[in-house]
Amino acid sequence: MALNRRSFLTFAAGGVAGTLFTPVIWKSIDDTAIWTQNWPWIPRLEYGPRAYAATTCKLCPAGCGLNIRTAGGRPVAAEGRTDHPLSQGGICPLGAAAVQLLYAPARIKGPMQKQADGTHQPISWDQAEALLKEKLAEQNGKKDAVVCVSGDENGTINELFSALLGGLGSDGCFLMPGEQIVASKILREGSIGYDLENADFVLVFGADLLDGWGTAVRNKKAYGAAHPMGEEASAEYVYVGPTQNVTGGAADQWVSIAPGMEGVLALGVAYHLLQGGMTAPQAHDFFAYRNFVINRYTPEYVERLTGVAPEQVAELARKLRSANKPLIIPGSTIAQGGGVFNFAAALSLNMLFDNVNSAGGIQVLPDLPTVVSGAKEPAQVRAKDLVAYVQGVAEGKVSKPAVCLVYEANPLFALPLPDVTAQAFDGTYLVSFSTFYDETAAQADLLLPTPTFIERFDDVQTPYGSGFASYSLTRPAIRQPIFDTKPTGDVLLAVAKALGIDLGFASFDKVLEAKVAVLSELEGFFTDKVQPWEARAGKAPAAASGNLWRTISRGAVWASITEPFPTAMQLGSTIISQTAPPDAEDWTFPVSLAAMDSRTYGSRHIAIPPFCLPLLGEQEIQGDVFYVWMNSATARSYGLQAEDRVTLTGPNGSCLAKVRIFEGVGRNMVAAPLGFGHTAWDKFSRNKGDNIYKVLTVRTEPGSNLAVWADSRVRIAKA
Amino acid sequence: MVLYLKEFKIKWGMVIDLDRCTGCGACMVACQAENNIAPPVDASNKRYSLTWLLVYQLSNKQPYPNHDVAYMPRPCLQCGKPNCVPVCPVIATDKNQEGGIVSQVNARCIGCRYCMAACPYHARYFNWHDPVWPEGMEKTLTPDVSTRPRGVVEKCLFCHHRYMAARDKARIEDRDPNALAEGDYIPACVEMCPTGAMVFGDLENPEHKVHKLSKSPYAFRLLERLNTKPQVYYYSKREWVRKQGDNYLEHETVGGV
Repeated sequence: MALNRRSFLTFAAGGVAGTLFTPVIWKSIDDTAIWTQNWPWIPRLEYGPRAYAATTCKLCPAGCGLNIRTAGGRPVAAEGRTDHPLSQGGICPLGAAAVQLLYAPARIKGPMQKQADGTHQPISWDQAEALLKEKLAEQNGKKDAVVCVSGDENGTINELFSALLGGLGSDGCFLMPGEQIVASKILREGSIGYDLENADFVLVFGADLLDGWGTAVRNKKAYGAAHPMGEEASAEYVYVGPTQNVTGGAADQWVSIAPGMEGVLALGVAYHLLQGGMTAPQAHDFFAYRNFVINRYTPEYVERLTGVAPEQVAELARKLRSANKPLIIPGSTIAQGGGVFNFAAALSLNMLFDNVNSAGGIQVLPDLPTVVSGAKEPAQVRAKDLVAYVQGVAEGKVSKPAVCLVYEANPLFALPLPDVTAQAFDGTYLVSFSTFYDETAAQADLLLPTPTFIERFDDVQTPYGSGFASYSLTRPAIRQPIFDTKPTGDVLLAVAKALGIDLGFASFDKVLEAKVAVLSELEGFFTDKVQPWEARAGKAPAAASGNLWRTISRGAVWASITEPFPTAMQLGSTIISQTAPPDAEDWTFPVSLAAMDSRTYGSRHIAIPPFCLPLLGEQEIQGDVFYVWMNSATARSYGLQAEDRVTLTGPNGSCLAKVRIFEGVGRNMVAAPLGFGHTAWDKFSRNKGDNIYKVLTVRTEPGSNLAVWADSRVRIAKA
Repeated sequence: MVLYLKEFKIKWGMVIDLDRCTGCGACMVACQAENNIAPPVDASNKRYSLTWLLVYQLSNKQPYPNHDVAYMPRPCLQCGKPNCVPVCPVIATDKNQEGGIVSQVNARCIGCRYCMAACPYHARYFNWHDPVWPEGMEKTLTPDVSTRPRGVVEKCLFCHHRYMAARDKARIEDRDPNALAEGDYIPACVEMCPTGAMVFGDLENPEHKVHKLSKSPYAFRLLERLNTKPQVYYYSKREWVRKQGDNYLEHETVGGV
């Protein structure tokens, strides 16, 4: 039979109809769809039993409680701990990225030694410790030949550093700069806390309360609780600072002043309070304070210096007076480099309201007793001025240290004028205990990496800014450290033993156990039933009892609101008048630099984590160039437009950036983020933007001799 | 136009307080970790970065010193009348499960991106490249959300796996999985928010906070005039913020007080 047209068409139609009835074709399309998404190089999920490990974060000094979620023993996510008074279930972007940092490419995988060609080559821990011992033994007994820079403000590890250094005859145990050094000039013992939760009017001078300052997550919780959705706010927040940063943007009112002018405005407010008849008979120096303020900080003078209209200052004073529980918080916008004048002036307003050691006021918090024999008191360590020391070394006024131990700190990046710091430590045997390959590690002669806080035991004592004394432990959420790392505490103990210095402990865990043991001698409670601010408001907590180590090592938080010692109330008239800034304007560097320190950009010792990069907006970084912010009027007066490239020049260096027009920056100011411009680390953080620390200006505050740089000024020009 | 209209007894939704959001971004990081989104090396190239939840900065556009700023976290708004669903040729995205969450089945997606064109909120993202985690970091993947290859669209699902887990838990505890209490099911972003700016719950359940809050005169939805009926509400006492929610013209007034 010949195949004619008709039978061909019949056959073809039948064939098509037939295929529609067979599942083969549909099945193969489905399989193709699945297999085109099934590439072996895309990681598969691994399953396993789920668990949580309660711990305390060490990525910044805020000391938040974290729950590390694990699956099959692998940490997978960090969450805020609802049972921790410093986080209450909240978390900051840096803490949220903590687990992924375990595997950041920047991690140092084991001990290393710098070679003649400048590269780092792996060595064993035995060799590394022997090397450290040898270097320290060479300096034994030489005064201040060994120094230590610690970025851990609240850890017991500092006791080991100061005791080891003390054993070697050195006094040089320094903390990275923070607010507590200024606070220590006001209060010689203990630290200053702020009972935000019970305040109904919070006036913040400078401090970026809701981001990079103090107990940020707790502050945010208090702010959130005071602004319930769908109801009237129970507390008003006013921010006095250069920019609408996180705090300035969220506060109920923003008053813009240049960095460094906070104290002048505070005394301007005090002027109105004093004129209104407020007294502080409990302070011995009330009359001296009153005369000083009334004579000097007149509305006209304050307006000339700060640019804030007199009515606005009077309004602030009126608001303060009408509040039941006003709280005034001093600080610097970058939580470092502020002077005593601004701090003491703002703090003095609290004394006028007599809110010291009362609910909703400022608190004097005790330092927990030291446990390592030979360790320095925390107050002594806090009071040491690292920046002044580094400047002294660079200028040749102070002898160069032979060995410098750097722990959880990145001084070659995050101290003002990093080039001067590098010069000061040039020729010093630099030992880095850093977890990550940061700028300091890149220059170090010996790398002794410590595990991340998710892999080690550690502790957090009362972070600066907290309204209560507290203690909680950091515990490993993973059985074995991922890399060949060793907790620094154990390294220090081993080296001390080899040097014949008896620190009294065999391991760092034992040091922590001893620390917990001394808590039982203090008046404290666990925060499981009563929160510290509730206790402050009058709810009586049950005293902590039983086996403290067992309870705390399982995640409990110990807290205390006991007034540690009677404090003599002073308004600080002497120190305020001695440290008052001169009136002279600096026209060489005409623009005020409002540096910003946000947890989005990492912390002082952590570069922007990979998981925080998507948070940066198109107007924060483009490719490898970052933005500095100014308002349109400022930009116009310097002939600049949005997206123009500019250079910021300080006395010792300059930075390249692009212009972002942001109207939430004060007049004649340029706002610039800290934390960009890393040169070490990994591809996620390296070569992004420029390092603003380079353009900061360090000056010595008269009267306190403190190194100050929060009020730096720059020149800006189109690049 | 939507092809069908299904009404649900449960509508999971959020009310986000734009006066309380400080724009810190903790929600965004929590979202990436929870949903296994790979970290980009250059996140400044927004075409290629996947941000299921994105925090926008709003400005009242007034010059200094009258400037005001607000931050607006934008998850997938889980529209009541989603524009993305009817355009999908392969039903990879759908809205037919009780709860009203708009689904996204990655394995079904053919990457045509019609849904991205249709979504007025830019809530959908396309995988131009295969996801890459730095060596070892793949160990931090949660066991809950599959990784997606290049060529598919993805978006926020209100942490749907947490919804499933909450329903399972209710069943095990002999409770009604269709009557979850407030707090039984919360997406990662809401749980982590340090100021508590995001509230989550069943919009239809009077016992849940969102029910009342979404009816507040200060509550609004984005581009309400498009009639997409999002299940995410925003809340602000500031009129300029509410106005920006719907691209109002100069002379137009806005609802609320």
